[in-house]
Amino acid sequence: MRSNWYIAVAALLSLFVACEGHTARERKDEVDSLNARAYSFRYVNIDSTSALAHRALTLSDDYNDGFCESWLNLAFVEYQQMNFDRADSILRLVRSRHPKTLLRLCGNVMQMKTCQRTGHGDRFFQAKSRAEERMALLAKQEGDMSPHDVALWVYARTEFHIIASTYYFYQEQDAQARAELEAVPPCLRLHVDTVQWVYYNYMLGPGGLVEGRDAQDITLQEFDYLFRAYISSRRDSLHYFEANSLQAFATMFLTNDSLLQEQRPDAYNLLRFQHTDWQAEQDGLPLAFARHALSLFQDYNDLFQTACTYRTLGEIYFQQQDYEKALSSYTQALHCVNLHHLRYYGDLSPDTLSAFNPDDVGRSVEKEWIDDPRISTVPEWIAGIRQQLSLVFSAMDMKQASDYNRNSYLDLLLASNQDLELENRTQELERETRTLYGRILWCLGALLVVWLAAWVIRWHMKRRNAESQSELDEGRWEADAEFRRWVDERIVQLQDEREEAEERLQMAHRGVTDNKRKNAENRAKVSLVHGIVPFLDRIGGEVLRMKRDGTVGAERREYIIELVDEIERYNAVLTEWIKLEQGQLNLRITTFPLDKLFRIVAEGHYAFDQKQIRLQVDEVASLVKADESLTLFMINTLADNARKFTPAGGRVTLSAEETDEYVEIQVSDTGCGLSPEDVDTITNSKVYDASEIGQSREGKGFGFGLMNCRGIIEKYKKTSSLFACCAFGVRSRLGQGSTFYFRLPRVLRLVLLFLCWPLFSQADEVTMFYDSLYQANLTARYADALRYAERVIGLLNREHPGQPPMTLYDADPAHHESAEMMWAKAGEPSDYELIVGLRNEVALAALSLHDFPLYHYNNRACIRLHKFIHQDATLPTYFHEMERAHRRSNLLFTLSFLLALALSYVAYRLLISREITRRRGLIALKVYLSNLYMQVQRKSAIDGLQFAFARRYPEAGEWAETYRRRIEADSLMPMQRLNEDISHLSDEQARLDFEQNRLHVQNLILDNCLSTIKHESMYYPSRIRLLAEKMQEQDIRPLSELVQYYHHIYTLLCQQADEQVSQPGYKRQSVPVDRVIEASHRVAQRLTRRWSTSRIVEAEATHRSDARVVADEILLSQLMESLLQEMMSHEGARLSISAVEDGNFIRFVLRDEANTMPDEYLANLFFPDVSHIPCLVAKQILREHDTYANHPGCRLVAQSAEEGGYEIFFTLLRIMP
Amino acid sequence: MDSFKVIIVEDVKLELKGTEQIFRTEIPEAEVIGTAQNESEVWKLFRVAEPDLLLLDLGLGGSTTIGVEICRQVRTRYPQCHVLIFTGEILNERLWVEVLKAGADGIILKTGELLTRDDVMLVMKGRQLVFNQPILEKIVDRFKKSVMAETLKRDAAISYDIDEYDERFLRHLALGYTKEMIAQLRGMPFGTKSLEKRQADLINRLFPEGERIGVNATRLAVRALQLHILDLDNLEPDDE
Repeated sequence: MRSNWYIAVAALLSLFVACEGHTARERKDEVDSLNARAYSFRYVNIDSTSALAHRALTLSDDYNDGFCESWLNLAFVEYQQMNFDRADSILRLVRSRHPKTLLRLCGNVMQMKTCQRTGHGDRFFQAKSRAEERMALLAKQEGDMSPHDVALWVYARTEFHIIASTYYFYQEQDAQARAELEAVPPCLRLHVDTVQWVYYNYMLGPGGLVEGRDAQDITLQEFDYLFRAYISSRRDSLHYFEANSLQAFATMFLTNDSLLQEQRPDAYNLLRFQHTDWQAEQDGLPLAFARHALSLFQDYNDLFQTACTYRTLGEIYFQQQDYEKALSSYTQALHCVNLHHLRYYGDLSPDTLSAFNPDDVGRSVEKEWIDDPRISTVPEWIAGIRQQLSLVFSAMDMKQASDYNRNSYLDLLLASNQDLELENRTQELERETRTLYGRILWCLGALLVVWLAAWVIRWHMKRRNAESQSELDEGRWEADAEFRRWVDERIVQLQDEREEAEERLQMAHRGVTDNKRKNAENRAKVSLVHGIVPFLDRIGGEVLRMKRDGTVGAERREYIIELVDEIERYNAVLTEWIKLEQGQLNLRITTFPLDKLFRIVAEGHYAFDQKQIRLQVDEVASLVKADESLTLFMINTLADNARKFTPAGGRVTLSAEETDEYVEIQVSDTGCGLSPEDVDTITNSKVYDASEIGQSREGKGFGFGLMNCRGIIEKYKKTSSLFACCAFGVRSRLGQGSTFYFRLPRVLRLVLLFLCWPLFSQADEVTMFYDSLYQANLTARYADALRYAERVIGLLNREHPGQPPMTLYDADPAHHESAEMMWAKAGEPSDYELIVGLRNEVALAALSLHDFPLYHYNNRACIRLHKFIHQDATLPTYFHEMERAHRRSNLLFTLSFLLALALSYVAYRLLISREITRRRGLIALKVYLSNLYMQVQRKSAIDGLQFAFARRYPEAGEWAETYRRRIEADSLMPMQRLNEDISHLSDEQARLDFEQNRLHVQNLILDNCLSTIKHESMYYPSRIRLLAEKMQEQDIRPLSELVQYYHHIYTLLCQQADEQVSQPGYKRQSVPVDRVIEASHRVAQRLTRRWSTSRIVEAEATHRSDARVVADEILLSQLMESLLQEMMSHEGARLSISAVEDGNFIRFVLRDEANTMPDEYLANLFFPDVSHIPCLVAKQILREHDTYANHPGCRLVAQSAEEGGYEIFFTLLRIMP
Repeated sequence: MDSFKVIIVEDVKLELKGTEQIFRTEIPEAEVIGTAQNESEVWKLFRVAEPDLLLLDLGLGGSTTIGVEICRQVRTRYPQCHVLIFTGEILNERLWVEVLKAGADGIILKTGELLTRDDVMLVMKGRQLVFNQPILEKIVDRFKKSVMAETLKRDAAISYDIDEYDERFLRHLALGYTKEMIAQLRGMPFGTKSLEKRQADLINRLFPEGERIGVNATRLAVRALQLHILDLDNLEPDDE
């Protein structure tokens, strides 16, 4: 520190002595010497550099180059003080003074330096490509340079490569970084420029840019470079590099102390000896180095490096597990960032960064800085601190703070992506203009034969234009051909999609058909159940009469017993029927995210808003295993109930709670609550009168919703032991609202995957495991997360046989690259974005589990891969090209302008101007078309794109219009048509899905109602019979009460079923009779396979060929099938199917000419009996047709046929032509 | 009363038995001349002898509404014969209306007391619309509801203070006129601006507080229909 001041004072003194009254020549030398000294003080004492440069500036007067060089030195000063805007404006000033090429080169290099630090990749490459050109130019003049210039030249070249290397190093592009360092001119090693030599050694030191045999070898080589930099910088008082080297030593010694002690004992001891006064004995060498570096940087007054050193200090403390100190170091580092910000941009944005402020969650101050174009800051700088903060917070178990910092860190990294979307097409345009100017030069170069040349050019251009146009017309143009290919592919893809949609529609249709058939059958069962009611009424009637007459009477008693027998027979039929279908499991069990259903419910908030009730739907991450549509039905039922019974201003909450075993879905309201008795009834009785629940409520009861919910849960439980945890219940107290809940089994993603193993392709599997990983992290199951990650890695490795396998963690430092980086570099195709995500998630999990080595490995892998896949390899060359093209065209233009202004103008005007316009028109047209293509490819539409060139060249405008129309007609229209088709099909499919789900739910509930009816009412008839048999004359009351009670229960149960049946499944259609007959024949043919003795014979057609009936086609075919099934089951049946017109109806007749059936059989065919269940279904279907056709009177009759045998016919309403 | 002849149409044998028993024990003057279980048997019986009363079940075998058809035919072919419907169709109210249209003298539901002597006698005396208790209860219930609703609506219409212009404005809104078109109607002394004001005013009158947000012209017109301020059957534009 003190020595710095001596040097500064000495420099100033020498300056004052040397400045009075000289000749211009002498003054020039003096300015050069001052500048050279200012340069040599750059890394020693920045204030001296500033003072010397200012002195040179005042002396420079009319010595332009000296003036500019001084400014360049000042730009460096501003750069070191991180005043990037000021440095920029200095560089602009220098440019505007047009100094010699060497100084311009220095300016470019300085520009690169600022851009590298502020993370402006595009401007960096711009400066780089300019610098390269100037270097190429200067290389030729190397021999003629003055010694001062030679020094500058060496500086500029070295600095150029070192900065480029630094840039690549931070972009994780090690190969390029290494290449740049190798390109440093060899003359540097002759100690021409000590500063740059030290800089070069320092660069090789800690960067990981050295290649070696193994990790040890690399470390030792790096140490050697660093040590060299350290010793030299110490010798020459280059405090900046001394501090930098120390900082690097700190990091290096942290992990390699013993290795260095062993292999480099002299250097080790020297360093140790030099730092004994920095508390090295107690705290260890790294801390001593870092402290020393810190003080050096503070003296040098470099905020950036001070912050970095604080970071290093923090890392050391972190390593020593002293998290408090680490945190305070990082906070210090952050403080430096804030200082920098406030110093230059405090007035623009007064907000500063903090390690963690709970108010800032969801907001990122640094992101605001970066997004603000007026503010220049160093993203990598802040990112590094943020990353460390996230680590230290994690170690201190402050999860929220850790997450906040990690998010900031990732945000910053994303903001510094290298690949900017550049219009590659500008490049093409550029090329075109280039050739264009080439032509102009040609024309002007041949001045002597201007007209001749013009003719030649005209001829040539005409041909080219014609060629271009024919290319355009015939689509031989590359972009056009590519576009056509794209259109073809897209159309094929859309056609495939349409086919898929059609198939899905078919599937949905089949689903609806199945469910509808099942529904018809269930309705038939409900009818059967209803068939019992008249018997009950009869018993009731008889009992009434007994009471009225006061006698029992043997006849009445007998009649009651007969009725009871009949009821029991009906019950038996129902039982048998239900039994027939057991085994046809109809719960559609799938695994699905609960949140999907919650979102559907949340969308229905309108009904709640209407009642001024707030519907709150919580977020939920759980997966459950259940029937999706039933679950939605249950949630909806509970939510609707809650809405009904919550007063205005109340709140209904839908939430879910997860345990290891199950997920409990809860619907809470702020209504008036339920009494304990009601709660008991709801949870424990299978049957109850819902209208009696909740007496305090206004009249209306719960309906059957709760009973249905309970029934569904019972059904789950019966289905499999997997559902043993299912439950339904309510927690409520009068006046305090209620919470209805049900439980469904929770699914770990893993379980799901193993269950559905064969169903998924490998890629799906990877994605699913990745999703599980993400979910696991989201729900704080980090150990699970790591398991999933291993699974994903395993799968990925399987996808890439023959490549080095990925690992979750690789401790071997010799493996410089992670496996996926090698894949990426080898051009192996894979989903790298997913791998980046994977590494990030693993890092996150590791962070939360405090596994820091794992974190570091994965974080680094994540960042490196991210940067690699986002690097734009063409960027540097692109800028280079742009620059060159620009300059060349400028030159050509000037030349041609000077040489042949007048003559060429005439020639141009007369001969080529038209062709040029044409040419430009064509080029513009190509650009326009490319844009059109791009728009079509991106948006599948053309909107708002105008051909700007049309004004100058109407012909091109017409072409553009033609092409545009052609694209619309040939590409857009078919695609749009297909898209429309697809959307229609998906809409139709959605409708069918909806219908299917509705039917499915209805069926299941009906199933449930029916089995409840079966169970709950089975026992009464026999009780009644017992009572009736034993009944005495005087004692009618017990029987009367029992009958009444049975009737009550039974009608209650029926109501529950009726509620479901009341929603019609019938769809009124106009069905051609021919089609019905044809379909029936097909069904009959199929059935002959089962009953091989039956045959189908053709019947004469007696109906009009265009006759149509009102029917639901699905139900009608089921009706036919049921009847055919019944009739063909008889031995040797010979069936004919025909249709006859019968007044307003069409009569479908199925006649069996071979069998004769007794009248008794025919009369009872449509009454409940186990042996002809199909007939009951047929009867039910006909009944529905009757109800919904708006014209009662359909018949379904079985009778003996006049011509022999018997027939069953039914009539349907005919549609009058 | 003199004896009369009855045909019972009932497809369920056990129920037939009960019905016959009721006739035998409670209505001795009725002479059951035949019973039928399906449509063809009915016509066979009618060919033998024409009864004074046909006790008819609506559903026979597989044909669940054929009773309506039988009733219609009996009323046209044998106008002297009374038809009393005796049915278990407790829920299908639409069928009751159909069968009354077809000319039935009354409907007895197979519930409660079932068939009583009084009901049969009323029919035989030529009384129309004979219903037993359960069906009457249902009918009266419906009647009450509809009357109450009507009254409420009428009261509402008066209390909303609707003048001639309000009515015309609402009527034309319901017919799909825009405010510009309404302002140009003959005898409509308002411009578009004041019609807009009137609409806001109407919304305030017709909707309770808290439901006024987001009400547009369509919703307003529908509300006017619901409150019977407009009559759906007389929804015509002004004569121009």
